[in-house]
Amino acid sequence: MNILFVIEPSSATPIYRQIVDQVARAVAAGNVQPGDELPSVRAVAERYAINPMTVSKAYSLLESQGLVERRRGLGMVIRATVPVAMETRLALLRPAIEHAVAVSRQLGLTHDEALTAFRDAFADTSQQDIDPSAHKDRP
Amino acid sequence: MNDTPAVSVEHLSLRYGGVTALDDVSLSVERGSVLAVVGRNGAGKSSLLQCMLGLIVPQSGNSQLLGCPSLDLTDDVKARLGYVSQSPELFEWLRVGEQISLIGGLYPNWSERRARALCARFSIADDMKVRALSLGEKQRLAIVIALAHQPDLLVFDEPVASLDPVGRRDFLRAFFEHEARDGAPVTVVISSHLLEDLERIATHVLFLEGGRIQLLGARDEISERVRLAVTAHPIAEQRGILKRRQIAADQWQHVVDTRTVANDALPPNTALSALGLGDLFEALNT
Repeated sequence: MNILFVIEPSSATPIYRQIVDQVARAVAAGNVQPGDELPSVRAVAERYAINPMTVSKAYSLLESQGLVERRRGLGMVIRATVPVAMETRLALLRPAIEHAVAVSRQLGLTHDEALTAFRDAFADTSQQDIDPSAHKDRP
Repeated sequence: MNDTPAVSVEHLSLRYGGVTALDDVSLSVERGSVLAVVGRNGAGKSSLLQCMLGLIVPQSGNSQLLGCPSLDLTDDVKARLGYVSQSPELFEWLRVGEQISLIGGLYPNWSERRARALCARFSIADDMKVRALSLGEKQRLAIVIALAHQPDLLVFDEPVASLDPVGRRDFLRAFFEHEARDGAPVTVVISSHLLEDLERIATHVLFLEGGRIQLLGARDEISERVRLAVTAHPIAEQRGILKRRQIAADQWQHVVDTRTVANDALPPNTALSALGLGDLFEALNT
């Protein structure tokens, strides 16, 4: 598997979180398949000149979320039956929501006005724009 | 594994003439951590590192390195220590290769292969006289020597100013290429103004201002709990409000520690924004 992380050290999002989110998004979008191997901790640390402990932390978190498993001789691989739990999907949505909330506040919108805007946007967005793999349960 | 912290500093205070360089600084650095020490010029970064290393005697307080008093380091602890100062002291009359071999002979854990590889990576020619090197090259040579004896604890005082961006990445990678004697990751204490470099590797960050600790914590935790809040009225100084500044007639900016601030300290619905290290540095120091 060719997962290419985009690491932004200066971002307000911690590096371990960037790695976790990117793997989780790749899984949710179907860009990686069960059995695909994550690059080794050493390889990721070396490539981006980051602390190996940060990569380990990210991989352990992914393991505890059930997205990857440690296989002897192979390292970390994407789990066969990846349960993209609702909790995980909501966690992935959270940063975008927080940003929208911040902008809503700056614009002086009320809670209800912002919610209405969200509902409208959700309804306006055509089905084609939404990644199909994340919405298998919808017609 | 040994649980003694790699560095332990208690109530350090240091004054030069009338100037306070350090004011009651206490901290401890766990083994395997990478502590980034940041602050404006004169904030006390070098003073702190030099007190830690026993190179300056503080007026009060004490510090220990690898469990040994900094002012009375044993040869064993010295051999497990790598330090690069802002103006490294080298043997000016030797050639680079001679300097490397001479120093190498003093350290039990020396890797000649690593020294040569690092010289090539940092573009330092073996046959140059040390005297003829630029300040940047001298600093790079000191870095090579500090890394090649594969110490358990590395202390760098503004080491990377002389390296280009590619060299700096290689320098950061080099921290993780050997292990401490007990198999744990190497402990690093590094001061620098190049926050983007520190952000790649730091597990902990210490913000110093005027010789005092402004903020100290795990890097990820700081990112996740320290926020910027802008309000119409100033919020009274209290626990959890790390800095306050007026930015416009009706706008006050606060650096907030969301874990320690009281629930009712901020007006309801105050927007909190996350900060990268650079933005946090600016917010804390203006």
